[in-house]
Amino acid sequence: MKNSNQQNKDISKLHKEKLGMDIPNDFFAKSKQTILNKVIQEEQPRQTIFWLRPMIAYPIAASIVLAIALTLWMQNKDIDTTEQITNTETIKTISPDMLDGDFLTSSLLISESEMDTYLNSYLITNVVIEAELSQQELENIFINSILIEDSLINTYLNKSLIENIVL
Amino acid sequence: MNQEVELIKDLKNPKLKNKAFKDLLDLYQERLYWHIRKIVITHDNTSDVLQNTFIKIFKGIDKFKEKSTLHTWMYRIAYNESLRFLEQNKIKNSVSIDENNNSYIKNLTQDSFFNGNEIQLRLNKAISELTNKQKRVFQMKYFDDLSFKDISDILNISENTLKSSYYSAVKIIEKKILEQC
Repeated sequence: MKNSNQQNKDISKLHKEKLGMDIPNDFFAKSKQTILNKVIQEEQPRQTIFWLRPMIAYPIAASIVLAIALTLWMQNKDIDTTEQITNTETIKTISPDMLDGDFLTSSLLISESEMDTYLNSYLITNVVIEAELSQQELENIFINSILIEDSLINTYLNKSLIENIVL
Repeated sequence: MNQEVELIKDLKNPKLKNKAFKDLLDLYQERLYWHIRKIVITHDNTSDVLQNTFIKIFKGIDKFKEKSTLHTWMYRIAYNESLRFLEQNKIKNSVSIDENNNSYIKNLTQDSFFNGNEIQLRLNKAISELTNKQKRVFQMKYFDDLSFKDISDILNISENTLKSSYYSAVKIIEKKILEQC
């Protein structure tokens, strides 16, 4: 290949001399810059929208969203459980009072015709709940016993049963 | 050829591509400009087609399978881009689209970057009267200084046919110029 600059000059000279075709001054330098700018522009969108490829970026984004969603859901779940425990404890503290005095006092004010309805509602709200609480406590003893070592299990069971069931 | 091989290697290397593309522009921009100019005639249109050609070269270099030489591949892109431009813009002045010689000369003389004298205009008129094939072969051989092998690769026509067309074209041009004197 001939010296490329000389060859370019020869070709330009030939076209100008033989065909009378001309070009603006410094055209090729300006044209080179324009082409380079256009090529850079064509390449840019792929890099500036997101620096990672979609194949990698989308799974990462999805994982982040899933992690946030799971965290929020777990937090809400903890709150619900705490609320439930608080409610059962509240019922547990109220119900003995109801058994001692309230039931007898309030039953005096109920007419005989409404006594059956009153008894039913009392049984449902106090006795059934009380039974459920006792059952729950038993379940807790068994669940906790799983975590206790074998050597301590007998002591634990005796203590728990006395505290929760007998008393 | 070694220079082309090195250039292709660098163009296909993402780290060296931009630098190699600048070298490619220095080497071939002027030659491709004149190749396109003879097809689309006016300077402004040539400038547009040249830009599109180099953008296609930049984008397509990774797919270049090196079955032909780099420069014939680029000339082929430039040639196809020129024809596509004429087709899209429905320019009737190019003989490749329209055989009307008056239109060719009219567009040539109306271009602000044509300042040819009487003799140059005669040569242009003589070229405009050639058939499409004769014209392309004559322009590529005489003005672009390409070999018959290269022209054969660009136009996808056998070398023997090209040689025959070229010598016919030379005779016709000589005859036409003598007639005009």
